[in-house]
Amino acid sequence: MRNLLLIFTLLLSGLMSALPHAEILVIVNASNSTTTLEHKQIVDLFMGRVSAFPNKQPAQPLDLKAGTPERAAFYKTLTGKSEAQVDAYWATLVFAGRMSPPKQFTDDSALIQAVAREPAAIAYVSRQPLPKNVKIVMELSAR
Amino acid sequence: MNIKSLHIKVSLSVAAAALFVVVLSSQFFYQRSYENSFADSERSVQQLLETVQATAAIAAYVGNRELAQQVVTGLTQNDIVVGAKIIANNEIIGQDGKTTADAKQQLISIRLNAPFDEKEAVGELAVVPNFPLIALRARDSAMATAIGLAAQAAVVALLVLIMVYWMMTRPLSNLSGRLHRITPGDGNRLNVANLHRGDEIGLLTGDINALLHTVETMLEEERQLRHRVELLETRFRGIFEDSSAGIFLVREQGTLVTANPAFFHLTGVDESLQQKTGDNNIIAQVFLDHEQALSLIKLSLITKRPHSADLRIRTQSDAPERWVHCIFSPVANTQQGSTIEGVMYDVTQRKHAEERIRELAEKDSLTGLSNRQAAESALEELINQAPVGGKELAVMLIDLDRFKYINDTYGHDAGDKVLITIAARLRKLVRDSDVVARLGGDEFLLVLNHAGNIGMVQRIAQKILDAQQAPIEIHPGVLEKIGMSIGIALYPDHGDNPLSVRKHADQAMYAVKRQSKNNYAIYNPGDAEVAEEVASR
Repeated sequence: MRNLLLIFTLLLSGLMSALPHAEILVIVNASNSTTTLEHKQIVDLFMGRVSAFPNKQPAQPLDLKAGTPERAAFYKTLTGKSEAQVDAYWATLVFAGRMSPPKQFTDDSALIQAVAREPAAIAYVSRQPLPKNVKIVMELSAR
Repeated sequence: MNIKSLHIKVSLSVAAAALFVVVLSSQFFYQRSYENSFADSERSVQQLLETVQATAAIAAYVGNRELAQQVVTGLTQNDIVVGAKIIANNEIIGQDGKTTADAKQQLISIRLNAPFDEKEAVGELAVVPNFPLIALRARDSAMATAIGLAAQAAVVALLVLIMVYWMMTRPLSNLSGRLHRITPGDGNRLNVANLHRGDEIGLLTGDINALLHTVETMLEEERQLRHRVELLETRFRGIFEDSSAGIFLVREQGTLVTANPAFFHLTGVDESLQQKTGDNNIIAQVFLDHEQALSLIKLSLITKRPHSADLRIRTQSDAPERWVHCIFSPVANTQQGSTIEGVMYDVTQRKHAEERIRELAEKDSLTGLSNRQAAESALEELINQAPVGGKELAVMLIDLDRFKYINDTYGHDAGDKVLITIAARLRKLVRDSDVVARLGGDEFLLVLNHAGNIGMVQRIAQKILDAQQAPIEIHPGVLEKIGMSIGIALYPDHGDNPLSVRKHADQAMYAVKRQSKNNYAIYNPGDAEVAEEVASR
């Protein structure tokens, strides 16, 4: 059984290495019933179009601090827009009122902690080992 | 102002053409300008929409009503937009100004795509353009264009008009006016302005001058010719009028065309009367021998050469007979028929002279009877003309008895008187057609036409003898009876030619003379002797 698992793990890792290298992981609280999200659903969540997961559970997107390379890479990978364009988008909405961009955190660890604490949270981090109280709903590979 | 004058016509034409061009072109340009202007405005609306497209797309993407409202409010600030709305998820999330239902107009709309996915439509931005304003602006712009064009055309037309007037109409009008004042023959010419030396107007002026010159030359020639013709006409008319010969023109039927005074003078026809009644037959009126005259006219027409004859003309009943020599010549054939020229002159005197000469030649001057030559030729003629087996002629030779005695006793005058008396008696006893001649001395010859039978001839001979019983007063108070011997021969019984007939009559007469005298005898060819028949006394 352990052998079988090992073989499966090896096979999986081999398969993974054959796929494009996934660098960004989209994570949610482990208690969240959502297991996986579509690319479009992630865009809609982070860009303020929807404020709930597909299972109607409220969602709160969390962002990295502006100016970090990871943030720029994330938005570039997710929307194809530059960080500045995304900021301008938010500025337009903020100016109109009633809308605010996702709350920003200084680094990955702060983000992971926030997701672990908050059941509605959703955030992105670089590929790394994750604690048990968060789970991956999507992996983004920078193209 | 003359409405028909050249520059009025040109002005009206140019004005009409300019008006036509202005109307057409302004209509065309107005239309085009209007359409362009309209299209521009629509493009402006489109551009306006594109300007706010990104923001509107964001608003539609996130369904942000505030942002949507900001966008549509911003749009309606423009005066070419009267209403705007943003629709997302089939819901109007922002609207301002008139709606489509109010304006009843077409919308101009663009699709709004998701800001992060060009393929996903998130809504629609629609505006109600201010079509009345757009149309008004388009009209204004088009009107300005059209008015500008019209003004331009008007200015060009005016310039053209002025140029045409200056360069063509006015010089032509001047030329026409000057030409109008020139009468051909007065020697005036048109002068060419320096401006037109060498152009068409100059050429025209030169040609007109040349024409004037030609016309004047021709007029002068014509005038001289007319003068010569007048001179000639005067001369010929003089000849015609003053001619002593009567000259006249008649038609074939005999109606008079014209005649000179001499004609009327000769014929005694009243000229004024003749002119009133033009259709009279002048030939019948003038000539006694009019049938001969008419046949002469016909002859000259047929032969196409002159024919002439002496003709008698009608005179007053008591006036002496008058003769004219008349020549008829065909003149020309006209539409009214053939015309004949007649020339006549009085030959009465000549006729009378001829008559006298003939009388001298043919008559015995004492008795007025035919002389020997006339008698002989008359006899010859009668015999030659007599048809064979036709009429008979009787020839009587008469010799007076005792004439020599009277002549010797009482003188020549007495003898002459006897001869005259006897001649008168003889003439009286026979018909006018019979020949009575004095052959010479106391010898007479009678030729009786249509002698009939011998008995009739004998009766005539007896009548002649009886007539001599009346005495002749040879001197006042002196009476003498004269007897005569008559020898008779008949043609053709006693001879077939004049000579033999006369010879036989002669023989019969001598037989009477030898025997009894104062008797007659008929030649008897039977016994070759002279048979005699003695009338009872």
